[in-house]
Amino acid sequence: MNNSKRTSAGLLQAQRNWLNAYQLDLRVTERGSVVSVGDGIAWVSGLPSAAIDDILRFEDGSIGMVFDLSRDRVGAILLQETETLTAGNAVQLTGRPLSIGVGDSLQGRVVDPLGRPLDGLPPASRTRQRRLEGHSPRIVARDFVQRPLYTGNKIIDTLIPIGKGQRQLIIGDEGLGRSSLAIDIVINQRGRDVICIYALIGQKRSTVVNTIRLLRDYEALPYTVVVVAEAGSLPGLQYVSPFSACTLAQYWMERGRDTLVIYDDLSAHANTYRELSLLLRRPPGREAYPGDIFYLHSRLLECSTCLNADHGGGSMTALPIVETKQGEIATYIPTNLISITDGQIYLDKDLFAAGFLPAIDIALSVSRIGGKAQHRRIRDEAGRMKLDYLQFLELEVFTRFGARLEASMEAKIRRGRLLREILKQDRLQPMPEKFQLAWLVAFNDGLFDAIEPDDLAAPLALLCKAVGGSVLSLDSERNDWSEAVRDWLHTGERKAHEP
Amino acid sequence: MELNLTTFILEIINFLILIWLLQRFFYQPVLNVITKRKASIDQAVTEAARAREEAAALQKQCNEHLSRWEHEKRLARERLQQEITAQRTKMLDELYKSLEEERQKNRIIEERRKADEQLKIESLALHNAAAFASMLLKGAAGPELERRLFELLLERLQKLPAATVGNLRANHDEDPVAIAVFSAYPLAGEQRAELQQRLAALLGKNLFYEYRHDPELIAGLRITIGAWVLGVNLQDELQGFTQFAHE
Repeated sequence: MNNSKRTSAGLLQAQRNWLNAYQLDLRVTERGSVVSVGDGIAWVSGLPSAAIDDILRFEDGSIGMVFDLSRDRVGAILLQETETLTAGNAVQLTGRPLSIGVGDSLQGRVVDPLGRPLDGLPPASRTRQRRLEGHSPRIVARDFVQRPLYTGNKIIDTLIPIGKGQRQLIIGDEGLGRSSLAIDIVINQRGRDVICIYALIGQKRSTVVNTIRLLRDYEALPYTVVVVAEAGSLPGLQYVSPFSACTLAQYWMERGRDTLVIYDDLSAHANTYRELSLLLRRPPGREAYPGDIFYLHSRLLECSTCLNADHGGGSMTALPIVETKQGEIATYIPTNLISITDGQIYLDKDLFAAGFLPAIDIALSVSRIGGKAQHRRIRDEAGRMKLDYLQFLELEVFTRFGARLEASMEAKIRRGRLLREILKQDRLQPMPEKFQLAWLVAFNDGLFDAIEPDDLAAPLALLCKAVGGSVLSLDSERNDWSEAVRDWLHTGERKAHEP
Repeated sequence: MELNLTTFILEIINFLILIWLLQRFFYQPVLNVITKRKASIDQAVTEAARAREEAAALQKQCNEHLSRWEHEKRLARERLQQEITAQRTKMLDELYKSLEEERQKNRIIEERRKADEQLKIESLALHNAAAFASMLLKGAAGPELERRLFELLLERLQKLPAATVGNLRANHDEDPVAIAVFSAYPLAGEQRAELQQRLAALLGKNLFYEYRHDPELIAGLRITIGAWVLGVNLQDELQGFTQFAHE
């Protein structure tokens, strides 16, 4: 009996129906036997009516999920393995799909993909079981992506805006700051009523510990659920972990909440899926991935959307992370994910090496929702900025040859250099959206033109401090912002020059 | 007084000369002056009349302009009022729409919250009911109940569908393992013989049996034949009852 029928009929009514049809009778059920165990999978004989994704319970307490069916064997991926699991153990079908406990009590917890606590605290109370891999919302339940999700990053919030319900890929080589960017985005959701779910898939334990520590230190853990499937955990757990994170988010989305899910990272997930498929002898395709590798990620990411008012109005924003090698984005898994998602944030190693942090390549990064999910004031100010910046990058090439340029081009290059310096941002320092508007207004009004790029840190810090105490809002008139920004910067200059 | 004719005539002549002189040197210029003055006065009057006419015409024109402008002003005001009304209506509609959407959202969220609460309460109720049933059955179960379940098992073995019997037989023929019989209470010799006879009728001869004691069954039996499990026991029945509480 699936969740939707049970919900509409009620548990008691469902049981009443069961009781009405109940008769004490001889029960004939199936029983399997483990043939072999190893590498996170088990081959089972028997269980003639086993179906894909059925949950198996082994007599030693291990749990598995049917992943392969053949004439005389059932292949199962292990989700829980005890030391006593061995060939000959009895196996039974549970008759239930894989599910995870969902509920508000999971906020602030660190759990494994089956919902079991990993933070040393008791299991979360008052949860209900929800099936993993449920259906994604129907088209009629969806709404347009219109509300902005502020990441706190200057480049993203102004030039590559993300909306609630959007799927934005973070792509780049290892070590360029993909996870750091994701953590910054989670930290920026403090006080914004967005529930974050961070799925760590196949990560090292040190990375897991660091992530949790950072979230705790920056007070982001109370509104975050961390789903952990370490590199040393069973491949089956790593396989289901993004679906667990998605299921947790779906529960809140259907109750009108805004959620943010981060899948860190889907390259490891794809590798795990390939490993399991090869072990269970599924036919390999391109690069030895199984043929349904695209479907694996597309069905995961299709769950992210914005629901309309008739369905609660919640949203699930997804930030999948994928790793590239040598900056090559045209490989199999990255291209799959680029085609599924609504845009990408590309981290470039040359920018990283040059000290431009975060190393977001504005030319290759895009948000397909764009200004539709941006506040109109920020959209008006940011306007042509991306185009102008890209033009500046092209023009700057000429300066390397020592060519003499026209005054207008020199001015463009100067402003471009200023903008490049403004867009740099330290880690773990997300900026509020009012500050984004403030620096945009200051830049467009030319208030930074007289300042050298290396001296921009002080006025920007001044602006950030002043904005925090200002009564202006994003909806205030442009003139008011212009005057306020001018005053703040001039006051700062005066104070800087005071003895 | 004496009237002198000569003086009289000379006076007359003097008077006539005076008249002539006046007429020649005084009357005509004065007449000219008067004529000129009259002409200028006439001209002034004419000009005044013309100016009056022009003023009247300008006044009329001014009034026409004024009335036209008043008309245009009225029209513009009406247009502005219509635009304001339309804009107000549009903004009110948008506001009502967003309010309605918020209400709808809250209604859905409240319904889901109530459904969740209801589910939690029902799940708790089922848990408690299952726990109670389990405790009661564990306390009330005994050999008598075991015997009745055993008889039920034998009766139902005879009535198994042909397809099920075929599956059991095929599975056993393929992999003739020992048939494991689990019971909550040890089976007597007679019961074992009866069971073996019934199973032999289903599966053929040359069957091997293992008898085990499993108090977890509470009461009843469980028989494993290769990949199949046949059972009439309270543990399985309770699990069927509690499946709702666990999901």
